[in-house]
Amino acid sequence: MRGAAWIVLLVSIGLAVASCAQTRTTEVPAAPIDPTRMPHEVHGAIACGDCHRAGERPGADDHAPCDGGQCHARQFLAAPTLFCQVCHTEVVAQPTLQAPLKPYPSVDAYQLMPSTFSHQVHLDQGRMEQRVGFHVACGDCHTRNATLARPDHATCARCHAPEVRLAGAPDMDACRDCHQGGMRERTASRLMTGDLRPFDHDRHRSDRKSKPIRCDTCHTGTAKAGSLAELGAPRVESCVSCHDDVDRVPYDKRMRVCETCHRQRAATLTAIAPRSHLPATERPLDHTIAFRRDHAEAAAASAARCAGCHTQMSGSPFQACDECHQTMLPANHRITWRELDHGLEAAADRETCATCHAPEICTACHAQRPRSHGMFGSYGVEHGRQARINVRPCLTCHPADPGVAASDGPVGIISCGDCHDTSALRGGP
Amino acid sequence: MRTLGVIVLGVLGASVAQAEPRPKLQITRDPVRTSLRMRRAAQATPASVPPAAGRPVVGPMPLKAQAPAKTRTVDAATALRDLRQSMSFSVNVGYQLDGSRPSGRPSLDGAIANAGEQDFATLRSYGFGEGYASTRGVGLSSLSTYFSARFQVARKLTAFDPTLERDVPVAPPISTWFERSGTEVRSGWAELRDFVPERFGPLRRLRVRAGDQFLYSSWQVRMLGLNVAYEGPALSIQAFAGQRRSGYTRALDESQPQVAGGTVRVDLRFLSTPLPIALAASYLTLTSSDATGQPGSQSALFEADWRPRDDVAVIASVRGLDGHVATQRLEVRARYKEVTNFVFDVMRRDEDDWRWDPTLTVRRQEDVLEARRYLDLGPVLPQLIGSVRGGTLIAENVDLLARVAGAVDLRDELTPANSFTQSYLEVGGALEVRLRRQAAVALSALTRTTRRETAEPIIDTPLFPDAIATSGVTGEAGFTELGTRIRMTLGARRFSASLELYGRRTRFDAAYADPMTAVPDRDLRGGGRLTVDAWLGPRVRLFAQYDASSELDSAPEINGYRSLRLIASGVY
Repeated sequence: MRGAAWIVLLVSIGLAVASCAQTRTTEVPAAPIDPTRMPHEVHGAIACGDCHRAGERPGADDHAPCDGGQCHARQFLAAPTLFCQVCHTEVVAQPTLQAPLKPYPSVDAYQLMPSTFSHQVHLDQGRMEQRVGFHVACGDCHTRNATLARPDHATCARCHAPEVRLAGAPDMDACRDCHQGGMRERTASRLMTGDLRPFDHDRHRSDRKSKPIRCDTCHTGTAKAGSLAELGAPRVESCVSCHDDVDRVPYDKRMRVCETCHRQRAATLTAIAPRSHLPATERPLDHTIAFRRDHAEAAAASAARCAGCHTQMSGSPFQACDECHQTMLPANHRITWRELDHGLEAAADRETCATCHAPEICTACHAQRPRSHGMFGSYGVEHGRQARINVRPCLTCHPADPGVAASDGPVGIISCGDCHDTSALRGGP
Repeated sequence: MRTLGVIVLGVLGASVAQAEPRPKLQITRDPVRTSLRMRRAAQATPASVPPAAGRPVVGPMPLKAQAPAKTRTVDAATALRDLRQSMSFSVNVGYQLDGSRPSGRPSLDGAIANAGEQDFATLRSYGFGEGYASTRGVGLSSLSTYFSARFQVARKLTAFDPTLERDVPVAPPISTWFERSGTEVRSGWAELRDFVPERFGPLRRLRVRAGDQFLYSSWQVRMLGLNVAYEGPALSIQAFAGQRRSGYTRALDESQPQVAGGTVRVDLRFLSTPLPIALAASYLTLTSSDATGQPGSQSALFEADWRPRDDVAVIASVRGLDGHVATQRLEVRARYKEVTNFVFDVMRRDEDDWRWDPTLTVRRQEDVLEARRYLDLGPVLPQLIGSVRGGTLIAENVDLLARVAGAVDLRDELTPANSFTQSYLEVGGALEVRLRRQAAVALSALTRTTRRETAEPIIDTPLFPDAIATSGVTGEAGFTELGTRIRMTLGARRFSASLELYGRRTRFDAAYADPMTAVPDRDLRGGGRLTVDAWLGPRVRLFAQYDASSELDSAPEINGYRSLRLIASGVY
């Protein structure tokens, strides 16, 4: 009852506090308003072909046609502003004009008016053969100037330009057939931000032994992506299969060499690589014998990682050692541990035992009559030979003081001192 | 006028643009045929629809068709539990069978087990189950919960007592403490964090946990109560109060002492002039208890954590009990590239230390029935206990651990020796060689030598009870254990099996001598453990373990121990 009252009281306090409190929310950033990106929506009243003339990039002809209708003539004649960065990375007027163009397609964190392109359709070889008589592979669209790159409109035009006249392939003359508006956020992982080194596709064309690396080794879900929104960035797990294989990757590029991808190594006592970064062996690579013995601080700092495999855990980093240690036995707790081995360890270092075991567990077991004592036999008289080998286990339960004879439960507790001379044991003469 | 003209022109232009019926997106540049590496229909691998016959071939065919990529590794890794899920739980249901059959040989004292009577149960079986559930953000986004419980259904072990003419309990084949059926809650708490509005500044780092939980303060204690913590980068504070709970067993669950205490930790690395030191102080008090018969105790821990480098820690601590210094500890830990670890720790234990943990601090002489008597390890004597251990992983396949540990008995000459606190030296090591990640062979060795007092052995007098030897000459003189293990695995959450074999020789001090029959001074035994762990998909796991020992020199009346453990788990 006392315990139940505690629970009711504490839960009530918790709920009262919670009801007064503001719940945790996640701030979702609004869609970016970027003055350096051309708003297609604002230009919706203009026909696509008015700007995208003759397949050239708009503005290639001395800013025509952007200033042709007096739309932006004033900006082109004025000092450089953010407006210029719609197309240029920067504009430096003096001493000589420098206005390098931005790469296209852009690599910003979001994509305006993304296309409705379907990798699933384009990589379905049978369907492609059926519709157009051939099929394409990744490199057909993602190669530009012998380098892997995002496809641009010219890439699409190889098959979809009207003059190609490819039966069964949609024409590119209607922009909105592909670009229906909206915005698509690119995920952070896709952009390889933070302390990650930029990913170099060219260095991943073949492995250490020049064996080609297929695109779908990393881009596993691409062939099933019906839209760009379904196109997930490769997961780090896909890196592991190669970067854990000494036949495919040099030793200094192995998965556990953090600098392969990260600019800095997190060299602290507690830093351990996320489980996703390690080979899918049953036991992670860093769970060495030494780690299995001394992991307290690392486990406290990476509780969420522990809970990925140790499913009995909550994943909370706050005071959670018991969640694992209540169920996972140390390796030396085998069948002989309970009767034969644990006493030696308790004698050597009782504090290690006490880390997990409160006194109740010891007394609960030691209060029972052991098998060696038999039930109906004459162990009370005939125990001498066993006791002479090692009398200490006897003294763990049987008091040395004479005159102590009591019962506790089903078995009797008899003092050694009732029959034996225990004066030496008690420090007497 | 000029502005008006521009507007008019703009509107006209726009209207013209709007009026245009069809955009003219004509790309006059020819497709670059040379880089259009389309495949021949004949070499294509149809996916869903067979290619149509008679279609013209467009473009050259430079690449050959390749086999699909293996995605097995990805699937295995993603089978891990996703902690972002708002709810997760797992359930284990198991069955265990322990056995110890009579060998027909007499025991060391001449008795023959089960010679016509049921001296002990040769089999013990029980079913058990474990359940774990945790939520995060359910109901309240700031709320997390965790619940862990265990149940057991055990058959009572009884035998008919012809004297009493009724069934009486008998001993299990292998000693154990859980002879009952029932459910035991291991842990159950609810926690709020990030619930304080941001306008309250630092207070938003508050964390409140209520329920049945473990505390890690100057010692770890399980309690039913409330724990409030503030977790800042430079300062963390914890305060808790509740009622202590017993662990692993429901025995003595009532009338447990009240627990209160707290922890303060200051990390000086966050000062304007950073120092690589963190200071912590913990306090833990327990009231007196009728259940354990222990008086109240107050313990405190002071700790200084110096990190001269990111991967090196020097930690010094002092623990006190009721105003006296109980232990002093120094620990040095270092790590190199995640897999090379070195630890040195040494602890001086004083006679004012607790006898087992904060709940067991004194021996009460007047009550001989007190539970702690069963755990009487003798008076606490000053000791120096230390160990050095280091391990590394060579070429990702050779896992090494070496360890040296020891204790020094620091009692004065007037204090009698205690068998549980004598000096010893221990040397051990382990080596595991991994073979292509699917198999591993491990070897381990451990030996310990304890320095016992030397005394003339007590000569056995037939038909007369021998004197009990002094504590300092009792106990084992040492042991040596060698083991090996072969392990095979097919990957995370797939299938693994291991076979472990070991042998152990224990040496005893000759505290007694028998002129008629030599008293054995050693015993030799061995054992093995076979484990199979198989996953049926990402959710269901089957586990089986067979654990057996050889015949025991110390118990020739039985043919050793046997144990079979079967578990089915579900993870959701």
